[in-house]
Amino acid sequence: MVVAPGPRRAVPALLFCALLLAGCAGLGPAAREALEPFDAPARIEPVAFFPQTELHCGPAALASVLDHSGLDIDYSALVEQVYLPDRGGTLQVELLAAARSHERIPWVLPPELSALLAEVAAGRPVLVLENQGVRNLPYWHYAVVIGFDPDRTEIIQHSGTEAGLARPMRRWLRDWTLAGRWAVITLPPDQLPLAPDRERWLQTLADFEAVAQPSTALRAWQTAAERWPDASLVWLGQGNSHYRLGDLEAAIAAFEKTLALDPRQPSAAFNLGWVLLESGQACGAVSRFETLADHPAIGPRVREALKMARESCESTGPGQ
Amino acid sequence: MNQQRIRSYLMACLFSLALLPLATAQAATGLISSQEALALERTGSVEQVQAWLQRDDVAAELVSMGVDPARAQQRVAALSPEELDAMAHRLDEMPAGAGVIEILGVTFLVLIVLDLIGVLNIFGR
Repeated sequence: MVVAPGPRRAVPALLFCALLLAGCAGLGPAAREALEPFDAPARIEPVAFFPQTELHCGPAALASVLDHSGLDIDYSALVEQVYLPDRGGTLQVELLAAARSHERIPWVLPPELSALLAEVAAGRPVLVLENQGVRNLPYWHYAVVIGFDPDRTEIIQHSGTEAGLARPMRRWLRDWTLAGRWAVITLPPDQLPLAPDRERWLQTLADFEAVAQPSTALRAWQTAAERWPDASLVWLGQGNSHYRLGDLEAAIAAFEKTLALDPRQPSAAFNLGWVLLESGQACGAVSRFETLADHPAIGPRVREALKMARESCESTGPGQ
Repeated sequence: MNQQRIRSYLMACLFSLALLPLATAQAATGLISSQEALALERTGSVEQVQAWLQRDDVAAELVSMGVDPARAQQRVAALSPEELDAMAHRLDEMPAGAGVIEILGVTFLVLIVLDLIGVLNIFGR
């Protein structure tokens, strides 16, 4: 399109831009820096596209990323899981919860463009929240970033009813920034994010364990243990998963490993005692529980277990 | 032993009596989950009880907002304690991403702006 700019067209244009300042702002230095490492366009292919129906951009976007993580997704069932009728939309926390229900680990990326681009370049579609309105009159929308083009400074997304929509980076960045730069990937249990913060990842896995099947949780803890073998919690988590799977021997070994790394870990000591009790080693359990009986937080729980262990130890004898 | 001390002993006794049913309920749950272990490490308390109370509140809230009751239970069951806490206290302020209908309007606006930006870029050179 060739436009001959005349003064008559430029004046309303200037006025309009004064009203919508963000529209005229160029790409900031931070964004330019984030794009710098990439000299070629990145595009993840294929990423399943679920055109949203009604106000269901949340489930549509979630369906795309879950499908890409290797799941077979029923879009209408997903709507039932995350759509909030009276709000006419979907909450961020419910998207995270639904990912857990589908045995995927939701990971909220640090609020930086570089982190998002890196994940996309590594082949992971990123679910983002956008504010397409203004700060005081927000219009919230979810989309999935599936690529970007550093030369044309465009971001490529599945958004609403449009697949592979290319948007100017600065316009998109404005919408994303107004929504707190919220970006999520959903990972299968045998993967880690590109740059996971250890403490936050452990919390993420603990929250995942509470919802996921024990075999999936176990795989996730094992994956974390490969990266951080010295983190005692990755062994506690494995022990908990083994226990839920009914493998008491493996659970005992995992809790012993936790205590070898962190001898004062009260949770591992309690869990070890509990599994010993269940596997018929009640007297061993007694000595574990006794060290914890005065613990300020779990004392009552320990004393209850200790009572059971003592009774069992006395009736079966220490030889058991 | 001074009076202050006796009083604090009494308080402690009363308090532990009040917690007794709670402790029994906890003992029945078996292992300490990794979530509880982390909470214990970071805050010195396992704090699951409050989360359970909130779970019911939030589920009721979801039902009042048009979610099927059985579905609401499943939905809150998948929330982390932190997310649950956020929903219990800030549900009204949380963004609810929606999408398509109004987007057409917004997109139209964006197209106009982009056109205008194009004009300005040429004008600036």
